[in-house]
Amino acid sequence: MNKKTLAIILAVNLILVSAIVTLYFTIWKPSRVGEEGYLTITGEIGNNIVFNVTQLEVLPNITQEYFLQGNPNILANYTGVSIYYLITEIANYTNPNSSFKVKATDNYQYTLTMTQINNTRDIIIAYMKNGEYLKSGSEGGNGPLRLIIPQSIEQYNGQFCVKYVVLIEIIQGD
Amino acid sequence: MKRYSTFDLIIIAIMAALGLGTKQIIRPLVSLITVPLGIPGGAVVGGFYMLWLVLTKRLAPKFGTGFLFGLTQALVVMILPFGSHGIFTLITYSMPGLAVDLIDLAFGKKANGVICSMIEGAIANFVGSLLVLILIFRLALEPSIFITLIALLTGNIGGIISYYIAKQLANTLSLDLSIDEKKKNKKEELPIDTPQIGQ
Repeated sequence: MNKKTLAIILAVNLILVSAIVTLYFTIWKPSRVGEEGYLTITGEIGNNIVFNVTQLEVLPNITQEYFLQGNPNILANYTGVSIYYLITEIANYTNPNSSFKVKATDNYQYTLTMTQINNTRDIIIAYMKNGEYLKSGSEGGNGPLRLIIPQSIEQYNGQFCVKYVVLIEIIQGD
Repeated sequence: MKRYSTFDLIIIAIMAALGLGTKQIIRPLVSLITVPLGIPGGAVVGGFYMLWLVLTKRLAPKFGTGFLFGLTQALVVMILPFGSHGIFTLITYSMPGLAVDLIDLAFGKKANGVICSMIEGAIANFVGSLLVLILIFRLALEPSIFITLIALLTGNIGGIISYYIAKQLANTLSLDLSIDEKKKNKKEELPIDTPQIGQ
């Protein structure tokens, strides 16, 4: 490789790296707490952890059939990340007496305990239903993120499956 | 099918398979870095994935091999349980291939240079990421710019790596890929100076 080619390659990559670093700290990194399409884990942890759907997708996910009993009843395959994984592996929080508020953009919320999420890995933050991304409220859907609770936790679980989820708040127990 | 030799089709099939196979291994490894930084892993992994596309172009440099590479992968991905975006898969996988074909065409005889490989990798990953952002995720403009810049960075690195892999393969397997222009020119000059036996 001659010097001219090497200079071109280095210059192009230097410009790209500079632009990416600048945008990372100005556009990407700023808090997106409560913004639709982003899941923020906050509360009893040092810094907020923010994920978008793309980032959630690369985490270990669960796809299985859930029956949401409510009005209407829904039987569908949901894909998402286990709350247990998000709390214990991502947020690295394992206090057995803690609880977790799952909140939506419309402030609707449901509280889970560590015991509940520890008993089953099937409580998930879903981003897909039957292989398709959940649509946001403005598009007539229940997403882009939705809490899915199996019937083993609540028989009439439909009403507790919070739509438009944006936040998981970790609350320290006694 | 007359346009493509058996060698070309084998290269397309092998590279498409390698791209799909290695993507599933690289993705979790890359996520070890991208998740803590909150950077989308797909755009970063894309650079590694486009490496195989550019390598296909270097080893089978006929027009359309990039598109066929993407189409092959799209058809496989659509029947696999992971990574499929439904019918959009056909577009998001084959368009980067077509972009590489067009860049190759634009570069003409200089298509085997490192700059061409770099641009091909960058544009292929850019096109792939942009299509996924537009068709699937529908992200806002600002995060989309950020992601596509990452795609350009990792894509061009993938392109440069593929150039050197192709160069190495050309030397090892004695393939005439016109990677080393000087060597090729020497070979072409040889018959002029060689005495014609039997005349």
